[in-house]
Amino acid sequence: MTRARWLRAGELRVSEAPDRLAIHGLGSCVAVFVYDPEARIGGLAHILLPGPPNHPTDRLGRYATTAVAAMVEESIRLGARRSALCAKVTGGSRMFSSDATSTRPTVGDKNITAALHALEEARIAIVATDIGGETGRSVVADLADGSLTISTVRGGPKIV
Amino acid sequence: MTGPRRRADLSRFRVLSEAGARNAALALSQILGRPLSLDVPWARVLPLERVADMAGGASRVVCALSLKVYGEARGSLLLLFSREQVPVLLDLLVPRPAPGRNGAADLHSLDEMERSALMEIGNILACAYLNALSRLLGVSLLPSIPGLAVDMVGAVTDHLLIELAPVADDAVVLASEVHEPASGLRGEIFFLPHPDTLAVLERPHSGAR
Repeated sequence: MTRARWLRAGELRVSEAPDRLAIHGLGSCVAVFVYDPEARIGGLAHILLPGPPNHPTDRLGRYATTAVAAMVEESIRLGARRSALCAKVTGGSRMFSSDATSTRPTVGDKNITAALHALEEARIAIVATDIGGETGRSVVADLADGSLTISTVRGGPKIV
Repeated sequence: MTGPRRRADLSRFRVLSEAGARNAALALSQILGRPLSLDVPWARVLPLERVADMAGGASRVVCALSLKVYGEARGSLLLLFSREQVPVLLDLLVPRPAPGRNGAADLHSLDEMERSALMEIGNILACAYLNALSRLLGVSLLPSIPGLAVDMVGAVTDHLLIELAPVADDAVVLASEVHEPASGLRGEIFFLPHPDTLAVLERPHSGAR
């Protein structure tokens, strides 16, 4: 198995099998994994915010809308078929006790909504989600089989 | 914020970091009834994506207390203890009969009393830290109620990045560490001022020591 490439906050990367893309310690941020299971090409983004600022930005991985668009475009450029692309979404936790009881949408909630909306707009099927909750997640996206392995400090890995 | 802060600014921030941590160490030593020492405080400008590295990397598991700072300067305070040190800290705060606590805690293994003891520590350290800054700067600074989590550094710091990302690509970080030599207890304090209020912290220090 190849060594995973780790993404920092706000980064995105598109690659192909047998690469694995990973994020350590995802809290209120959201991870979106877009891939083509046949071509075994896809990308992972570590998203901080729902949408970009008003001024132009080159930090495409930071925002749900720009990250989804960039991953789709780059995956197609590498040989993925648009109609075959599907997505898995995770993250968006309420990390602190004070957020956990809040009735107002937290930034995690807004990130999830924005990511799901951006995928729907791009007509990409969302095949799995593991979102919300009160714990951080580490995720590994495997382009060889399209799996997303999620672990937390509370328990062993779960594969979606 | 554009470009790195000037060296002069950072040395000013380092003075604040030291004063805050010294006061926090004093408060904690009074609570624990033991002397605490202060490790070399620092102030740096870090790209947002590197903020998790300041605290040992995104995957390190910590007990985190997170507070917002309100008043004439805004920002975020983050207090961290290694997960392994939670039982040590709790034994000092709310001793339990033998065999005592074991192993690494997670949030769900802590009872109500233990959680509130940790939040109280967060509150006291934050107040002590901010009081020292208030005195030096002649401004009023108030902490929110602390949020508590036991989780990966990446997961407990990403809300800081989320807050800064719309307005900055870098974070100014004031850091310091207090430790209690006998038990090996070590706590890390990080203050990330909001870019809009950096000017307040850059004012010449006026107050008494």
